[in-house]
Amino acid sequence: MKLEIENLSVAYDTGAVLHGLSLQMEEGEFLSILGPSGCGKTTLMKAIAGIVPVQGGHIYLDGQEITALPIHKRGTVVVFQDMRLFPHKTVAENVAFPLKMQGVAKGERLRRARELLQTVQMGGYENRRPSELSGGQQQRVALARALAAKPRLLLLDEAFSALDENLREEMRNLVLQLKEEFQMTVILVTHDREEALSMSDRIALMFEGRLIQCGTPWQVYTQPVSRQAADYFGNCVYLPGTVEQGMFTAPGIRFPTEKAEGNYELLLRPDCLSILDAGDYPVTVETISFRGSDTVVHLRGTDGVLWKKAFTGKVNLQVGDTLRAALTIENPVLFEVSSAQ
Amino acid sequence: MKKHPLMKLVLVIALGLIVLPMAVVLLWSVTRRWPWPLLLPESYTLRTVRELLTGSASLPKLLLSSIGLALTVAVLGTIIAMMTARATELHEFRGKTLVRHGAFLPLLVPGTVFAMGIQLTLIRLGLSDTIAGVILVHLIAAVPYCITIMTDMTAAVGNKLEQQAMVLGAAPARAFFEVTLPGLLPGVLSSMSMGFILSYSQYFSTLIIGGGRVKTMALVLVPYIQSGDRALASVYSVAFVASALLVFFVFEGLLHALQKRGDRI
Repeated sequence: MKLEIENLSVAYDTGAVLHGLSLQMEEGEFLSILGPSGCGKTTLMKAIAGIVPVQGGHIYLDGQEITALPIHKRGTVVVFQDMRLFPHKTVAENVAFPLKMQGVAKGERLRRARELLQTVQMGGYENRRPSELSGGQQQRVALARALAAKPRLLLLDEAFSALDENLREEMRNLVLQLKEEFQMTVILVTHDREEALSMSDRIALMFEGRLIQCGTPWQVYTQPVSRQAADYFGNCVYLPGTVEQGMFTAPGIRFPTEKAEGNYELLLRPDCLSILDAGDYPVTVETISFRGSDTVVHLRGTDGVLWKKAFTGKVNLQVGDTLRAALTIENPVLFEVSSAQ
Repeated sequence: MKKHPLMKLVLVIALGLIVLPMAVVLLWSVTRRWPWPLLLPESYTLRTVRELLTGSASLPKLLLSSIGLALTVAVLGTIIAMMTARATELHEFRGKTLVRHGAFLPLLVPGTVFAMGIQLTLIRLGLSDTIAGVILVHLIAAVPYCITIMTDMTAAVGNKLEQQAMVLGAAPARAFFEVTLPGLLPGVLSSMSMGFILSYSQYFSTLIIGGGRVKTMALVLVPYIQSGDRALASVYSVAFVASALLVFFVFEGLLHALQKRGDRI
């Protein structure tokens, strides 16, 4: 379903959490709300679901205003991080719960619950108690139960962070597959960059109750709007330089730009640095740490910039080696350094 | 779990403090003469039992009114406590701490002082000498304890499941009954037991506010203790304890039945 949020403000007793936030979402889209803990992303999710009262702004679902609609009438279903299966009910009754609320007859709702459990590969667990299931199984049941409610909008609240690494991968794939199968519009609230980058159609990046940037994973990663946004994805290196007469100049680098004259920092990520070429950017090996699947090498440029680069396969380097590396920049991102600093 | 030897000692002492006096009361209830320094009574009688069963105060009527009154207090007290606990645990509002601590104010004032004070108010309200008045006064005694139990329980259960239920399409009341109440059930039963026993054992407040029109077991029992008819006082005590225990057993059974039912559907 199409979701529109206009100028949304939410405040708790302790102060404002969301400051006039706006966001649009298309039908069938998978959007991740990404941000550090405490940035207000969970509050935004709760405001959409109607769990927290909003102080200002509007929320529309398919053009219909739902800002004042009670929780149970919104059709926005949340899968919480802690699953929240009902401990007094069996797995089948948990999944059948939304249907029971819709007044579906008992036989029919249990039949549908069985079907949905099959979909999430939990067939045969109908009569178990939630407490008898593992974390991953509980997550599957929670998903099946959410699907039973036929959500207009499915909200996943840090849904995978309670699971261990392997299981997380499996659940992500399951969610993407279910999204296609049931043609759902999904919002994933997460602080996990990799998760957001790999799963979403678009990412909404949040800091301190504000939406900083919204775009495809590629845009958000390669064209961050600020250093803060860039740093959130990590592995950033900044080369200080200046723009004069339409040219950015830094040690070893020179390219034309449309930016105004002044001091800038050029955003670089390790993939800009190629080691094997005989380039004009000398770096010294500082540390080498083997991590199994790859080896991380810390390299210090002559300009003092520290690079972390991962290599796969055998690394024939020694600490102290000096290499002639090269910098290749395809889409340069420049952040202005304010002269006040 | 391995039992600590000290724990065992505490258990034995506690048991001795309950079982021994109870045994003495049981013995006294059928004693005709028990002169000092005999270890056991000199002679026994069933006079007391006859008096209990067929005496001036009709036992079935007495039990019915006492238990009925105490159950009413237990149910009302638990409902009030549940609502108070939900308000203070799940909602934010001004004066929340005041409500939370204010609920315990009745405990600070001695019961006798309190009963005499509130009687004036109840007379003014036309509730003196009525069952409603007695229920009200018993509630004031019982609710603080019920609130303590329900507050802890509500804090433990929280409203997360209720939120989940609402998100899945359940109206607020439905969500409460479907997913929160089953979790609260043990607390509800404890709170009802507490409310029951507090009302059941009220003497002075029942006497003052009930004005003798509201008859309870405690009201009949206490004068016998004061008048010194130990045998009769004992037989009433036995009936008092036995009837209270019976109600507890019913509560306990109800809890198990409800939890079993919850297990099935």
